Amino acid sequence: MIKYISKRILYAFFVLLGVSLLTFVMGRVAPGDPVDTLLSNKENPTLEERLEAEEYLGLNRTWTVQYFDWLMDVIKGDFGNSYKTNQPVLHEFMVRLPATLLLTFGATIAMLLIGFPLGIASALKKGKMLDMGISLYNTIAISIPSFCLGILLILVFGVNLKLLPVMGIGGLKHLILPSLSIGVIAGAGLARLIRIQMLAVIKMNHVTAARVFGVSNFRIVKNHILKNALPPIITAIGLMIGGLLGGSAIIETLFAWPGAGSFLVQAIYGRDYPVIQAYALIMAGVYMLINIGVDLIYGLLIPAKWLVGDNDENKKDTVANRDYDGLNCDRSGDICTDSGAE
Amino acid sequence: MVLIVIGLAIFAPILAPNDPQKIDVMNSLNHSSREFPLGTDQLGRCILSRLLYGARTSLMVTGLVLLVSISIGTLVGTVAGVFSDRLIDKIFTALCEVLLAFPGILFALVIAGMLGPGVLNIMIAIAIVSWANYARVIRGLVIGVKNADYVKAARVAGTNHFHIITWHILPNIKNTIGTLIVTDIGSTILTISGLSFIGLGAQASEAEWGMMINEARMYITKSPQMILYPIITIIAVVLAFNLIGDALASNEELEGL
Repeated sequence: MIKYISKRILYAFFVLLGVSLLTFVMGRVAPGDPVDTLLSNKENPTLEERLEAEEYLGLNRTWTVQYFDWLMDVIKGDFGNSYKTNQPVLHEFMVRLPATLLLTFGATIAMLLIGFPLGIASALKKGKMLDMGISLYNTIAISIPSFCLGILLILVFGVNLKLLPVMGIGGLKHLILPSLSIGVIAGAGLARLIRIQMLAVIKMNHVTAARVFGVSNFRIVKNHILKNALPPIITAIGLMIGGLLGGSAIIETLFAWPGAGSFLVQAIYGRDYPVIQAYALIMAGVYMLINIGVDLIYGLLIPAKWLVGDNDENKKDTVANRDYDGLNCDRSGDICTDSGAE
Repeated sequence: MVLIVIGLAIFAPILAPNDPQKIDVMNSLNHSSREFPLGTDQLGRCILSRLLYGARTSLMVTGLVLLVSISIGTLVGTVAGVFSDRLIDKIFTALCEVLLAFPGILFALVIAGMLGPGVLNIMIAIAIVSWANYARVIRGLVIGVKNADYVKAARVAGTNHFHIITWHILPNIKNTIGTLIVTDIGSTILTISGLSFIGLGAQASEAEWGMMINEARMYITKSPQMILYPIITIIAVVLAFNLIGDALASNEELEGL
């Protein structure tokens, strides 16, 4: 078990290294001169001032030296200062990160509460009216952009009914609309995935056998179907939470939610590269942590995984293959099984 | 439905009742009228015309993004699949792993942010993010086909790699690749409109759906119809593409059995 977890952490470390290299290169290739941004409050900077600024930013050295210097600083927790405010980026992030995590948490809860009942119900009633209704609803829901749903919710609950606040952060009430705008859509994606996975298990012999033995319906669903369908679902949930984290940037902007995502959007307008780089790395880190956490839950539910270790990799791959934001989760999996059959 | 949308996009200049760029501040925020069927926006521009021209932008950008990422994905996936026991496959697989380990939308946001606002830049961002997924799926497909007897036979007969790829492998997986493209049109439109909504995509003068919604946000209480029309348009178009994608995917499943 420890071996498995440490392997995951090592893997996460390499991914973070890759992300850091990528963001660094992107930052250097990107248009816009950071020297100009730094000197933007001065009129007509002289050449000396420019060179000084270059020296200050460390831009006069070779790329590799810059990268390793930067990486060392990052490991120490120093992401540099924001070009705009000259405040340490890390500090500004840590102030805003809890809001984003809160929103992601709310959205995840909404997603699970919507996804599981719908998915299970439509799998059990396959081919019936209920299943068709839910499937239609799911297809419609995944076709709605989250910000559109957010606007519709604002129109209905905020502007017309005046029930819920639509701006900023505050009590639980403030959390409802933003969480729903992300969670409802992700929930529909999850329901589709759960339906497909459960249908695959329902066909299996042990379920039929249990039915023949007269095991109650509830126990069949809980012990025999859900338990076997769960592993790929849990892995997918981990991936989907990543989508929620990223998607929150758009919703944060819409609801004026003071989180890391809206901070990023402002930084993008200001061409504030340290902030963008820090966002990429911190979010990647958070995402890795969440996934390791999901893996731990997975291990608690299905201890066999820790024994098998990465022999389970095949099963994981089919899920990871599914679309990154979890919207078309059912499709690439199908294709993979096809290719396996050939 | 999809054909209608594509038709509307192609013939937008003929069908649009008004010039989508024409500013007429006197007529701003109007409701529907004979001259402006869906009313006007804050600068008095015709909403219907902007929606029609927006369809052009959205479909063209989506098409280009998918074309680029599927081409790169096919190239990398095929090469990695055919040489699946060599170093080159290991390198590509590791690269894909790193790209896929990071949530796509987050990544697209960061890349688009680094490159700065603009349609071209979000196209680059989405393409960079999405090719890895295709490469991975196609690599799996290629490996599946590669071990078929007729490919082995061709190899024994001394056929070179290029010939095997173009004659024996690609024709066999082209339907699946097609299905992949169609099923992803919907989500690509969603991503593009999302990035445009926060102002990373199309710039002020261009007509794009996500952009229109963002502009209309200021006037949400005064004239909600201005924001509702683009929302309905996006949902309807994405839904249409998703339904086709679903149908194709389940078809593919049947072929597989």
